[in-house]
Amino acid sequence: MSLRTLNIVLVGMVVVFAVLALLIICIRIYSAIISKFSNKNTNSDRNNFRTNDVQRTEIAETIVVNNTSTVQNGLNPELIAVIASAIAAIMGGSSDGFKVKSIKRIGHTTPIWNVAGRNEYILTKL
Amino acid sequence: MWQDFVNAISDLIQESGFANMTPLHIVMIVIACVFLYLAIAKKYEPLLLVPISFGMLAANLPLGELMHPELWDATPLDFGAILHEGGLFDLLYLGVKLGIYPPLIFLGIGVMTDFGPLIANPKSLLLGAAAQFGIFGTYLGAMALGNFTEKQAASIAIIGGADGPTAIWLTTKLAPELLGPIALAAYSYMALVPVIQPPIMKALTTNKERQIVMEQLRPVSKTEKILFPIIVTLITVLLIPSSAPLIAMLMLGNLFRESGVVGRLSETAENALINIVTIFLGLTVGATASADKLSQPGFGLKALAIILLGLIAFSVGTATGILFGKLMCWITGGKVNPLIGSAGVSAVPMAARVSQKVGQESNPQNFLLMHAMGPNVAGVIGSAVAAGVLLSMVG
Repeated sequence: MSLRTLNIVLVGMVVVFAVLALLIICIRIYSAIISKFSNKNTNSDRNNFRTNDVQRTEIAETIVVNNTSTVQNGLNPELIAVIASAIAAIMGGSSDGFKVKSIKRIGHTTPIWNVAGRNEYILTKL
Repeated sequence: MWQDFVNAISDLIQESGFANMTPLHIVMIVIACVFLYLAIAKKYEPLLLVPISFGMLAANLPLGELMHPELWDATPLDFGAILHEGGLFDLLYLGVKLGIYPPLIFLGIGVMTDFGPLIANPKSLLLGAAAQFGIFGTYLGAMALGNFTEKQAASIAIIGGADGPTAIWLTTKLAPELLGPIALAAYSYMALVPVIQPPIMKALTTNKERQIVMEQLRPVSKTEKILFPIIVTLITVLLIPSSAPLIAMLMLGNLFRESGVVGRLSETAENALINIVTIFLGLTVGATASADKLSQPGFGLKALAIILLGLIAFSVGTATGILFGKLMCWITGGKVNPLIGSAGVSAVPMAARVSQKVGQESNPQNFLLMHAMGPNVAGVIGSAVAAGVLLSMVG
Protein backbone atom coordinates (compact mmCIF):
# COMPACT_ATOMS: atom_id res chain seq x y z
CA MET A 1 0.00 0.00 0.00
CA SER A 2 1.45 3.31 -1.05
CA LEU A 3 2.10 6.25 1.22
CA ARG A 4 -0.21 8.33 -0.96
CA THR A 5 -3.16 6.02 -0.19
CA LEU A 6 -2.58 6.33 3.55
CA ASN A 7 -2.19 10.07 3.12
CA ILE A 8 -5.55 10.35 1.32
CA VAL A 9 -7.29 8.35 4.07
CA LEU A 10 -5.73 10.38 6.87
CA VAL A 11 -6.26 13.78 5.26
CA GLY A 12 -9.80 12.81 4.20
CA MET A 13 -10.90 11.84 7.71
CA VAL A 14 -9.22 14.84 9.32
CA VAL A 15 -10.86 17.25 6.83
CA VAL A 16 -14.33 15.69 7.28
CA PHE A 17 -14.01 15.94 11.08
CA ALA A 18 -12.59 19.47 10.89
CA VAL A 19 -15.39 20.76 8.63
CA LEU A 20 -18.13 19.22 10.76
CA ALA A 21 -16.45 20.38 13.99
CA LEU A 22 -16.33 23.91 12.58
CA LEU A 23 -20.05 23.63 11.81
CA ILE A 24 -20.68 22.61 15.45
CA ILE A 25 -18.87 25.73 16.67
CA CYS A 26 -20.82 27.96 14.27
CA ILE A 27 -24.18 26.41 15.21
CA ARG A 28 -23.39 26.88 18.91
CA ILE A 29 -22.36 30.51 18.39
CA TYR A 30 -25.36 31.57 16.36
CA SER A 31 -27.77 29.60 18.56
CA ALA A 32 -26.32 31.37 21.62
CA ILE A 33 -26.66 34.78 19.94
CA ILE A 34 -30.26 34.11 18.91
CA SER A 35 -31.19 32.79 22.35
CA LYS A 36 -29.58 35.85 24.00
CA PHE A 37 -31.62 38.18 21.82
CA SER A 38 -34.85 36.30 22.45
CA ASN A 39 -34.13 36.28 26.21
CA LYS A 40 -33.69 40.05 26.12
CA ASN A 41 -37.07 40.38 24.45
CA THR A 42 -38.62 38.07 27.03
CA ASN A 43 -37.15 40.01 29.96
CA SER A 44 -38.37 43.33 28.62
CA ASP A 45 -41.81 41.81 28.14
CA ARG A 46 -41.79 40.51 31.72
CA ASN A 47 -40.88 43.98 33.05
CA ASN A 48 -43.82 45.40 31.17
CA PHE A 49 -46.10 42.86 32.84
CA ARG A 50 -44.91 43.87 36.32
CA THR A 51 -45.84 47.52 35.77
CA ASN A 52 -49.30 46.73 34.60
CA ASP A 53 -51.72 44.64 36.67
CA VAL A 54 -54.17 44.25 33.84
CA GLN A 55 -51.51 42.71 31.63
CA ARG A 56 -50.45 40.39 34.48
CA THR A 57 -53.90 38.88 34.67
CA GLU A 58 -53.82 38.11 30.96
CA ILE A 59 -50.31 36.75 30.84
CA ALA A 60 -50.90 33.93 28.38
CA GLU A 61 -52.58 36.18 25.87
CA THR A 62 -49.90 38.86 26.24
CA ILE A 63 -47.11 36.40 25.52
CA VAL A 64 -48.89 35.27 22.41
CA VAL A 65 -49.42 38.81 21.15
CA ASN A 66 -46.14 40.47 22.12
CA ASN A 67 -43.66 37.69 21.67
CA THR A 68 -44.68 35.57 18.74
CA SER A 69 -41.24 34.16 17.94
CA THR A 70 -40.00 33.39 21.43
CA VAL A 71 -39.52 29.83 22.60
CA GLN A 72 -39.04 29.42 26.34
CA ASN A 73 -38.76 26.27 28.42
CA GLY A 74 -40.03 24.19 25.53
CA LEU A 75 -43.20 26.29 25.20
CA ASN A 76 -43.72 28.51 22.22
CA PRO A 77 -46.59 31.02 22.07
CA GLU A 78 -48.48 28.91 19.56
CA LEU A 79 -48.42 25.96 21.96
CA ILE A 80 -49.66 28.16 24.83
CA ALA A 81 -52.47 29.41 22.60
CA VAL A 82 -53.41 25.85 21.62
CA ILE A 83 -53.48 24.68 25.26
CA ALA A 84 -55.53 27.74 26.30
CA SER A 85 -57.95 27.09 23.43
CA ALA A 86 -58.29 23.43 24.44
CA ILE A 87 -59.10 24.46 28.03
CA ALA A 88 -61.61 27.01 26.72
CA ALA A 89 -63.25 24.33 24.57
CA ILE A 90 -63.59 21.99 27.56
CA MET A 91 -64.92 24.82 29.76
CA GLY A 92 -67.69 25.52 27.30
CA GLY A 93 -66.08 27.58 24.56
CA SER A 94 -65.42 30.76 26.52
CA SER A 95 -62.09 32.24 27.63
CA ASP A 96 -63.74 33.94 30.62
CA GLY A 97 -63.44 32.47 34.06
CA PHE A 98 -59.95 30.96 33.85
CA LYS A 99 -56.37 32.03 33.35
CA VAL A 100 -53.32 29.99 32.36
CA LYS A 101 -50.73 30.63 35.07
CA SER A 102 -48.26 27.93 34.24
CA ILE A 103 -47.80 25.00 31.91
CA LYS A 104 -45.67 22.10 33.11
CA ARG A 105 -44.59 19.06 31.16
CA ILE A 106 -45.43 15.90 33.08
CA GLY A 107 -43.53 12.61 32.90
CA HIS A 108 -43.90 9.85 30.38
CA THR A 109 -47.56 8.88 30.56
CA THR A 110 -48.26 7.67 27.05
CA PRO A 111 -50.71 4.76 27.24
CA ILE A 112 -49.08 1.46 26.38
CA TRP A 113 -51.46 0.98 23.45
CA ASN A 114 -50.28 4.27 21.92
CA VAL A 115 -46.64 3.20 22.34
CA ALA A 116 -47.44 -0.18 20.78
CA GLY A 117 -49.18 1.57 17.87
CA ARG A 118 -46.21 3.85 17.23
CA ASN A 119 -43.80 0.93 17.36
CA GLU A 120 -45.88 -1.04 14.95
CA TYR A 121 -45.97 1.90 12.55
CA ILE A 122 -42.17 2.30 12.66
CA LEU A 123 -41.68 -1.44 12.09
CA THR A 124 -43.84 -1.29 8.96
CA LYS A 125 -41.45 1.35 7.59
CA LEU A 126 -38.31 -0.78 7.99
CA MET B 1 -46.48 -17.33 -52.54
CA TRP B 2 -45.67 -19.77 -49.73
CA GLN B 3 -41.96 -19.26 -50.27
CA ASP B 4 -42.38 -15.45 -50.05
CA PHE B 5 -44.28 -15.83 -46.81
CA VAL B 6 -41.57 -18.09 -45.33
CA ASN B 7 -38.84 -15.67 -46.47
CA ALA B 8 -40.64 -12.69 -44.95
CA ILE B 9 -41.06 -14.49 -41.63
CA SER B 10 -37.45 -15.66 -41.76
CA ASP B 11 -36.22 -12.07 -42.40
CA LEU B 12 -38.35 -10.80 -39.57
CA ILE B 13 -36.83 -13.37 -37.21
CA GLN B 14 -33.31 -12.57 -38.43
CA GLU B 15 -33.90 -8.86 -37.78
CA SER B 16 -35.50 -9.41 -34.39
CA GLY B 17 -33.75 -9.14 -31.06
CA PHE B 18 -34.17 -12.90 -30.49
CA ALA B 19 -31.74 -13.75 -33.31
CA ASN B 20 -29.17 -11.29 -31.96
CA MET B 21 -29.43 -12.40 -28.36
CA THR B 22 -26.17 -13.60 -26.80
CA PRO B 23 -25.75 -15.55 -23.54
CA LEU B 24 -24.47 -12.34 -21.91
CA HIS B 25 -27.69 -10.54 -22.81
CA ILE B 26 -29.63 -13.34 -21.17
CA VAL B 27 -27.47 -13.09 -18.03
CA MET B 28 -28.12 -9.33 -17.82
CA ILE B 29 -31.86 -9.80 -18.34
CA VAL B 30 -31.96 -12.42 -15.58
CA ILE B 31 -30.04 -10.06 -13.25
CA ALA B 32 -32.49 -7.25 -14.11
CA CYS B 33 -35.43 -9.55 -13.33
CA VAL B 34 -33.87 -10.50 -9.97
CA PHE B 35 -33.61 -6.81 -9.06
CA LEU B 36 -37.18 -6.24 -10.24
CA TYR B 37 -38.28 -9.08 -7.98
CA LEU B 38 -36.39 -7.55 -5.02
CA ALA B 39 -37.94 -4.15 -5.72
CA ILE B 40 -41.53 -5.30 -6.26
CA ALA B 41 -41.92 -8.41 -4.09
CA LYS B 42 -39.46 -7.54 -1.32
CA LYS B 43 -39.96 -3.76 -1.59
CA TYR B 44 -36.20 -3.01 -1.51
CA GLU B 45 -35.98 0.71 -2.38
CA PRO B 46 -38.67 0.22 -5.06
CA LEU B 47 -38.74 3.88 -6.09
CA LEU B 48 -35.21 3.49 -7.41
CA LEU B 49 -34.75 -0.19 -8.03
CA VAL B 50 -37.79 -0.43 -10.33
CA PRO B 51 -36.52 2.20 -12.82
CA ILE B 52 -32.89 1.00 -12.43
CA SER B 53 -33.67 -2.65 -13.08
CA PHE B 54 -36.13 -1.87 -15.89
CA GLY B 55 -33.53 0.41 -17.48
CA MET B 56 -31.09 -2.51 -17.29
CA LEU B 57 -33.66 -4.85 -18.83
CA ALA B 58 -34.61 -2.51 -21.69
CA ALA B 59 -31.04 -1.49 -22.53
CA ASN B 60 -29.96 -5.13 -22.79
CA LEU B 61 -32.53 -6.08 -25.39
CA PRO B 62 -30.54 -6.37 -28.63
CA LEU B 63 -31.26 -3.87 -31.44
CA GLY B 64 -33.38 -1.71 -29.13
CA GLU B 65 -30.84 1.09 -29.65
CA LEU B 66 -31.92 2.79 -26.46
CA MET B 67 -28.37 3.20 -25.18
CA HIS B 68 -25.05 3.23 -27.04
CA PRO B 69 -22.21 2.49 -24.59
CA GLU B 70 -19.64 3.01 -27.37
CA LEU B 71 -20.61 6.69 -27.61
CA TRP B 72 -19.82 7.16 -23.92
CA ASP B 73 -16.49 5.31 -24.10
CA ALA B 74 -15.02 7.82 -26.55
CA THR B 75 -12.39 10.18 -25.19
CA PRO B 76 -12.95 13.07 -25.43
CA LEU B 77 -16.73 12.74 -25.47
CA ASP B 78 -18.33 13.66 -28.79
CA PHE B 79 -21.51 15.40 -27.69
CA GLY B 80 -22.50 16.05 -31.31
CA ALA B 81 -22.49 12.32 -32.03
CA ILE B 82 -24.45 11.63 -28.84
CA LEU B 83 -27.13 14.15 -29.82
CA HIS B 84 -27.37 12.91 -33.41
CA GLU B 85 -26.92 9.15 -33.02
CA GLY B 86 -27.93 8.60 -29.40
CA GLY B 87 -31.08 6.77 -28.34
CA LEU B 88 -33.59 7.89 -25.73
CA PHE B 89 -31.50 6.67 -22.79
CA ASP B 90 -28.36 8.30 -24.23
CA LEU B 91 -30.07 11.67 -24.20
CA LEU B 92 -31.44 11.19 -20.69
CA TYR B 93 -28.00 9.97 -19.55
CA LEU B 94 -26.58 13.42 -20.32
CA GLY B 95 -28.10 14.56 -17.02
CA VAL B 96 -26.09 11.90 -15.18
CA LYS B 97 -22.89 12.47 -17.15
CA LEU B 98 -22.99 16.22 -16.67
CA GLY B 99 -23.71 15.80 -12.95
CA ILE B 100 -27.17 17.43 -13.08
CA TYR B 101 -29.52 14.80 -11.60
CA PRO B 102 -27.83 14.07 -8.23
CA PRO B 103 -27.76 17.74 -7.13
CA LEU B 104 -31.42 18.11 -8.20
CA ILE B 105 -32.29 15.09 -6.04
CA PHE B 106 -30.38 16.73 -3.19
CA LEU B 107 -32.59 19.81 -3.68
CA GLY B 108 -35.67 17.67 -3.02
CA ILE B 109 -33.98 15.90 -0.09
CA GLY B 110 -33.17 19.33 1.39
CA VAL B 111 -36.87 20.27 1.29
CA MET B 112 -37.82 17.01 2.98
CA THR B 113 -35.15 17.19 5.71
CA ASP B 114 -35.71 18.71 9.12
CA PHE B 115 -32.32 19.72 10.51
CA GLY B 116 -33.96 20.66 13.85
CA PRO B 117 -32.62 17.63 15.78
CA LEU B 118 -29.12 18.41 14.50
CA ILE B 119 -29.33 22.10 15.47
CA ALA B 120 -30.69 21.13 18.89
CA ASN B 121 -27.77 18.77 19.44
CA PRO B 122 -24.87 19.90 17.22
CA LYS B 123 -22.56 17.28 18.77
CA SER B 124 -24.34 14.72 16.60
CA LEU B 125 -22.40 16.14 13.64
CA LEU B 126 -19.38 14.30 15.08
CA LEU B 127 -21.28 11.01 14.83
CA GLY B 128 -22.05 11.85 11.20
CA ALA B 129 -18.32 12.40 10.67
CA ALA B 130 -17.25 9.22 12.48
CA ALA B 131 -19.50 7.05 10.30
CA GLN B 132 -17.67 8.37 7.22
CA PHE B 133 -14.70 6.26 8.27
CA GLY B 134 -16.49 3.49 6.36
CA ILE B 135 -15.75 5.42 3.16
CA PHE B 136 -12.07 5.92 3.83
CA GLY B 137 -11.60 2.44 5.33
CA THR B 138 -13.06 0.92 2.16
CA TYR B 139 -10.86 3.12 0.00
CA LEU B 140 -7.93 1.62 1.86
CA GLY B 141 -9.33 -1.90 1.28
CA ALA B 142 -10.01 -1.33 -2.43
CA MET B 143 -6.49 -0.01 -2.97
CA ALA B 144 -5.05 -2.97 -1.03
CA LEU B 145 -6.85 -5.39 -3.38
CA GLY B 146 -4.82 -3.95 -6.23
CA ASN B 147 -7.52 -4.46 -8.88
CA PHE B 148 -8.71 -0.89 -8.90
CA THR B 149 -7.27 2.47 -9.83
CA GLU B 150 -7.34 5.34 -7.31
CA LYS B 151 -10.42 6.83 -8.96
CA GLN B 152 -12.26 3.52 -9.04
CA ALA B 153 -11.37 2.83 -5.39
CA ALA B 154 -12.72 6.26 -4.36
CA SER B 155 -15.98 5.64 -6.27
CA ILE B 156 -16.43 2.23 -4.62
CA ALA B 157 -15.62 3.65 -1.19
CA ILE B 158 -18.38 6.26 -1.42
CA ILE B 159 -20.93 3.41 -1.23
CA GLY B 160 -20.13 3.58 2.51
CA GLY B 161 -21.73 7.02 2.57
CA ALA B 162 -25.08 5.22 2.18
CA ASP B 163 -26.20 8.03 -0.05
CA GLY B 164 -27.26 7.02 -3.57
CA PRO B 165 -27.11 10.44 -5.28
CA THR B 166 -23.67 11.16 -3.76
CA ALA B 167 -22.37 7.77 -4.94
CA ILE B 168 -23.68 8.37 -8.47
CA TRP B 169 -22.36 11.94 -8.57
CA LEU B 170 -18.84 10.95 -7.51
CA THR B 171 -18.73 7.85 -9.72
CA THR B 172 -19.72 9.79 -12.87
CA LYS B 173 -16.86 12.17 -12.11
CA LEU B 174 -14.21 9.57 -11.26
CA ALA B 175 -15.05 6.13 -12.68
CA PRO B 176 -18.13 6.25 -14.98
CA GLU B 177 -17.31 2.75 -16.25
CA LEU B 178 -18.33 1.36 -12.84
CA LEU B 179 -21.52 3.40 -12.47
CA GLY B 180 -23.95 0.48 -12.92
CA PRO B 181 -22.58 -1.89 -10.25
CA ILE B 182 -21.79 0.94 -7.82
CA ALA B 183 -25.29 2.45 -8.06
CA LEU B 184 -26.90 -0.96 -7.70
CA ALA B 185 -24.71 -1.87 -4.72
CA ALA B 186 -25.34 1.52 -3.06
CA TYR B 187 -29.12 1.34 -3.36
CA SER B 188 -29.32 -2.37 -2.52
CA TYR B 189 -27.31 -1.92 0.67
CA MET B 190 -29.37 1.13 1.63
CA ALA B 191 -32.42 -1.09 1.44
CA LEU B 192 -30.60 -3.73 3.50
CA VAL B 193 -29.73 -1.34 6.35
CA PRO B 194 -32.27 -3.04 8.69
CA VAL B 195 -30.53 -6.37 8.03
CA ILE B 196 -26.88 -5.26 8.03
CA GLN B 197 -26.81 -2.85 10.97
CA PRO B 198 -28.56 -4.54 13.96
CA PRO B 199 -26.04 -7.41 14.44
CA ILE B 200 -23.13 -4.93 14.40
CA MET B 201 -24.97 -2.57 16.77
CA LYS B 202 -25.70 -5.37 19.23
CA ALA B 203 -22.20 -6.81 19.04
CA LEU B 204 -20.56 -3.49 19.89
CA THR B 205 -22.86 -2.32 22.70
CA THR B 206 -23.91 -3.70 26.06
CA ASN B 207 -27.56 -4.11 27.00
CA LYS B 208 -27.09 -1.38 29.62
CA GLU B 209 -25.80 1.06 27.00
CA ARG B 210 -28.71 0.28 24.68
CA GLN B 211 -31.16 1.11 27.46
CA ILE B 212 -29.90 4.68 27.97
CA VAL B 213 -32.74 7.19 27.76
CA MET B 214 -31.56 10.49 26.31
CA GLU B 215 -32.72 13.92 27.45
CA GLN B 216 -35.45 15.53 25.40
CA LEU B 217 -34.08 17.81 22.68
CA ARG B 218 -34.58 21.54 23.12
CA PRO B 219 -37.00 23.26 20.76
CA VAL B 220 -35.29 25.04 17.88
CA SER B 221 -36.49 28.49 16.81
CA LYS B 222 -37.43 29.34 13.25
CA THR B 223 -34.56 31.84 12.98
CA GLU B 224 -32.03 29.12 13.82
CA LYS B 225 -33.53 26.83 11.19
CA ILE B 226 -33.42 29.56 8.52
CA LEU B 227 -29.82 30.50 9.33
CA PHE B 228 -28.62 26.87 9.30
CA PRO B 229 -28.63 26.24 5.51
CA ILE B 230 -27.02 29.62 4.85
CA ILE B 231 -24.21 29.06 7.35
CA VAL B 232 -23.58 25.45 6.29
CA THR B 233 -23.35 26.49 2.64
CA LEU B 234 -20.96 29.34 3.42
CA ILE B 235 -18.61 27.29 5.57
CA THR B 236 -18.66 23.97 3.72
CA VAL B 237 -18.44 25.33 0.19
CA LEU B 238 -15.71 27.81 1.13
CA LEU B 239 -13.69 25.02 2.77
CA ILE B 240 -14.40 22.23 0.24
CA PRO B 241 -15.38 23.95 -3.04
CA SER B 242 -15.73 20.60 -4.85
CA SER B 243 -18.67 19.69 -2.59
CA ALA B 244 -20.59 22.77 -3.80
CA PRO B 245 -23.09 21.12 -6.19
CA LEU B 246 -24.38 18.72 -3.52
CA ILE B 247 -24.18 20.92 -0.43
CA ALA B 248 -25.51 24.07 -2.13
CA MET B 249 -28.54 22.31 -3.59
CA LEU B 250 -29.25 20.40 -0.35
CA MET B 251 -29.17 23.63 1.62
CA LEU B 252 -31.18 25.57 -0.98
CA GLY B 253 -33.91 22.96 -0.65
CA ASN B 254 -33.79 23.28 3.13
CA LEU B 255 -33.98 27.07 2.88
CA PHE B 256 -37.08 26.68 0.70
CA ARG B 257 -38.60 24.61 3.49
CA GLU B 258 -37.63 26.70 6.47
CA SER B 259 -38.13 30.17 5.00
CA GLY B 260 -41.83 29.41 4.59
CA VAL B 261 -42.20 31.99 1.83
CA VAL B 262 -41.76 29.77 -1.25
CA GLY B 263 -44.37 27.11 -0.67
CA ARG B 264 -44.84 26.45 -4.39
CA LEU B 265 -41.11 25.92 -4.97
CA SER B 266 -40.86 23.60 -1.95
CA GLU B 267 -43.80 21.57 -3.13
CA THR B 268 -42.36 21.22 -6.64
CA ALA B 269 -38.88 20.29 -5.42
CA GLU B 270 -40.06 17.64 -2.96
CA ASN B 271 -42.68 16.08 -5.24
CA ALA B 272 -42.76 16.59 -8.99
CA LEU B 273 -39.11 17.52 -9.58
CA ILE B 274 -37.53 14.81 -7.43
CA ASN B 275 -39.85 12.19 -8.91
CA ILE B 276 -39.09 13.16 -12.51
CA VAL B 277 -35.34 13.23 -11.85
CA THR B 278 -35.52 9.88 -10.02
CA ILE B 279 -37.16 8.26 -13.06
CA PHE B 280 -34.50 9.64 -15.43
CA LEU B 281 -31.64 8.82 -13.08
CA GLY B 282 -32.83 5.29 -12.33
CA LEU B 283 -33.53 4.38 -15.94
CA THR B 284 -30.22 5.63 -17.28
CA VAL B 285 -28.07 4.31 -14.43
CA GLY B 286 -29.63 0.89 -14.97
CA ALA B 287 -29.03 1.19 -18.70
CA THR B 288 -25.28 1.62 -18.13
CA ALA B 289 -25.14 -1.98 -16.88
CA SER B 290 -24.96 -3.44 -20.35
CA ALA B 291 -23.94 -6.88 -21.59
CA ASP B 292 -20.99 -5.31 -23.45
CA LYS B 293 -19.54 -4.24 -20.11
CA LEU B 294 -19.93 -7.74 -18.70
CA SER B 295 -18.00 -9.13 -21.65
CA GLN B 296 -15.01 -6.94 -20.82
CA PRO B 297 -12.28 -9.07 -19.24
CA GLY B 298 -12.37 -8.98 -15.45
CA PHE B 299 -15.52 -6.83 -15.21
CA GLY B 300 -17.61 -9.55 -13.55
CA LEU B 301 -14.91 -10.05 -10.94
CA LYS B 302 -14.73 -6.32 -10.38
CA ALA B 303 -18.52 -6.14 -9.96
CA LEU B 304 -18.35 -8.90 -7.34
CA ALA B 305 -15.51 -7.09 -5.55
CA ILE B 306 -17.61 -3.89 -5.60
CA ILE B 307 -20.53 -5.67 -3.98
CA LEU B 308 -18.25 -7.13 -1.29
CA LEU B 309 -16.42 -3.84 -0.68
CA GLY B 310 -19.76 -2.01 -0.49
CA LEU B 311 -20.86 -4.35 2.28
CA ILE B 312 -17.58 -3.75 4.11
CA ALA B 313 -18.02 0.02 3.68
CA PHE B 314 -21.50 -0.10 5.24
CA SER B 315 -20.40 -2.33 8.09
CA VAL B 316 -17.29 -0.30 8.92
CA GLY B 317 -19.30 2.95 8.82
CA THR B 318 -21.89 1.49 11.19
CA ALA B 319 -19.19 0.16 13.53
CA THR B 320 -17.21 3.41 13.69
CA GLY B 321 -20.41 5.38 14.28
CA ILE B 322 -21.32 3.09 17.18
CA LEU B 323 -17.79 3.20 18.61
CA PHE B 324 -17.77 7.00 18.48
CA GLY B 325 -21.20 6.93 20.12
CA LYS B 326 -19.68 4.83 22.92
CA LEU B 327 -16.90 7.39 23.28
CA MET B 328 -19.46 10.20 23.55
CA CYS B 329 -21.44 8.11 26.03
CA TRP B 330 -18.33 7.73 28.19
CA ILE B 331 -17.36 11.42 27.93
CA THR B 332 -20.86 12.66 28.81
CA GLY B 333 -21.19 10.25 31.72
CA GLY B 334 -23.82 8.05 30.09
CA LYS B 335 -26.06 10.73 28.56
CA VAL B 336 -25.65 9.54 24.96
CA ASN B 337 -27.07 6.23 23.77
CA PRO B 338 -24.34 4.76 21.48
CA LEU B 339 -27.01 3.28 19.20
CA ILE B 340 -27.63 6.68 17.59
CA GLY B 341 -24.06 6.52 16.20
CA SER B 342 -25.01 3.96 13.56
CA ALA B 343 -27.48 6.46 12.06
CA GLY B 344 -24.46 8.55 11.00
CA VAL B 345 -24.13 6.50 7.81
CA SER B 346 -26.97 8.54 6.18
CA ALA B 347 -29.61 6.27 4.57
CA VAL B 348 -32.19 8.79 5.81
CA PRO B 349 -34.45 7.95 7.61
CA MET B 350 -33.97 4.18 7.54
CA ALA B 351 -30.80 4.17 9.69
CA ALA B 352 -32.49 6.34 12.36
CA ARG B 353 -35.45 3.95 12.42
CA VAL B 354 -33.06 1.05 12.94
CA SER B 355 -31.49 2.85 15.94
CA GLN B 356 -34.99 3.35 17.32
CA LYS B 357 -35.94 -0.30 16.79
CA VAL B 358 -32.78 -1.76 18.33
CA GLY B 359 -33.02 0.67 21.27
CA GLN B 360 -36.60 -0.27 21.90
CA GLU B 361 -35.77 -3.98 21.99
CA SER B 362 -33.70 -3.28 25.12
CA ASN B 363 -35.99 -0.65 26.62
CA PRO B 364 -39.56 -0.62 25.26
CA GLN B 365 -40.19 2.86 26.73
CA ASN B 366 -37.19 4.41 24.96
CA PHE B 367 -37.70 6.72 21.98
CA LEU B 368 -34.41 7.33 20.19
CA LEU B 369 -35.85 8.29 16.80
CA MET B 370 -35.43 12.08 17.04
CA HIS B 371 -32.02 11.73 18.70
CA ALA B 372 -30.91 9.45 15.87
CA MET B 373 -32.19 11.88 13.22
CA GLY B 374 -29.40 14.31 14.24
CA PRO B 375 -26.51 11.99 13.24
CA ASN B 376 -28.61 10.72 10.35
CA VAL B 377 -28.92 14.11 8.62
CA ALA B 378 -25.35 14.94 9.71
CA GLY B 379 -24.32 11.86 7.74
CA VAL B 380 -25.79 13.40 4.57
CA ILE B 381 -23.61 16.49 5.04
CA GLY B 382 -20.65 14.31 6.06
CA SER B 383 -20.85 12.05 3.01
CA ALA B 384 -21.19 15.05 0.67
CA VAL B 385 -18.09 16.58 2.28
CA ALA B 386 -16.24 13.24 2.02
CA ALA B 387 -17.20 13.03 -1.67
CA GLY B 388 -15.87 16.56 -2.20
CA VAL B 389 -12.62 15.67 -0.43
CA LEU B 390 -12.17 12.52 -2.52
CA LEU B 391 -12.93 14.42 -5.72
CA SER B 392 -10.37 17.11 -4.97
CA MET B 393 -7.68 14.64 -3.85
CA VAL B 394 -8.17 11.83 -6.37
CA GLY B 395 -9.99 13.51 -9.28
